[in-house]
Amino acid sequence: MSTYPLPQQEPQGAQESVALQAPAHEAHHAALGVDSKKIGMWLFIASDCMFFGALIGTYLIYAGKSTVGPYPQDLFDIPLTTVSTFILLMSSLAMAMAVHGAQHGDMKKLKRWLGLTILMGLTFLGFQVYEYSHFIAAGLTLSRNLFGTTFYVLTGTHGVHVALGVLWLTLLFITALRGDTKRVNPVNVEIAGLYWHFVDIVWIVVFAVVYLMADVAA
Amino acid sequence: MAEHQSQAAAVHHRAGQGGKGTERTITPKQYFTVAAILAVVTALEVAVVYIEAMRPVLVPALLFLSFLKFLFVVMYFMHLRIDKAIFSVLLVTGLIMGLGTFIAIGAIIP
Repeated sequence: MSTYPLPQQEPQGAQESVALQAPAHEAHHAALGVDSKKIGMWLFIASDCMFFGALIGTYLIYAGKSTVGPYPQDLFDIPLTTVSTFILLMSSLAMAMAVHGAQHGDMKKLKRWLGLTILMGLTFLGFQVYEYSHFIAAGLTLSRNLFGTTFYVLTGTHGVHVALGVLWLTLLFITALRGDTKRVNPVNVEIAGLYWHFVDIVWIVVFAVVYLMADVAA
Repeated sequence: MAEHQSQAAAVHHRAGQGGKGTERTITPKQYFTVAAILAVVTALEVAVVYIEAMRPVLVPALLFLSFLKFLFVVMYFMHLRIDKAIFSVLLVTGLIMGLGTFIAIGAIIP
């Protein structure tokens, strides 16, 4: 999306809708004719692909090489992780609906779906905390074995990404509640959405490679 | 209000196409359909793990299903289906670099 120009004449009763359009002086154009903030987010996503590529690669290389337990097969609770995966996938739907609300000037819709996204993000983190506490109780610490090291570093890094996303969306939500429609404009909401969806696609890979392929990797 | 909202929406759609004027968009109905597909594919992934007959093809099946989910998220939720090609190029570049990092790590770690 490149621009959100204000209409020449505002129709009556459209203040909220108009306010959600980023003012012309706020637009950050790049030479390619697209918003530079959006390009920046896509560049970040591209670089983060390398980061997660390294972490997933390391996990797979060391899979099945732990000399002491506990092992993945002893700990993983696939039904539980499936529920948390489902919640994160549905949070992407909620985020897409929030972006849709912002792009169509519907502040109520934006706030409702953004709030739901935050709630689902927090629920996912709750599942992760529960899983970690269960694993630690079973003896799997960061330094216990190669599985513990690579598993916690990979899923922990993803969890930090989710936590930062929740923080970002919460700030956006509070700003929207305050009625600061200058900051909560379609471009800013879409960029936050891109980050959130990226966190989701990383988990799609982690869920398949780490959890569902656990028996094969071992 | 409604008139202005549709005006704003049209601006967005044109912008998404780089100002070409083609009003392609993703509707809430499509978002919900994609979410339903993602849920079904996730259920399939889990089912595949528990079906003994699928064991010989477990890895390719899981890779295919997760790639399908990945595609739906980037094409619809991240708007690559209707957005400028430059963003798709950036994502593919990132994925190639990620794959390169993955291969390089495999090569350097004994």
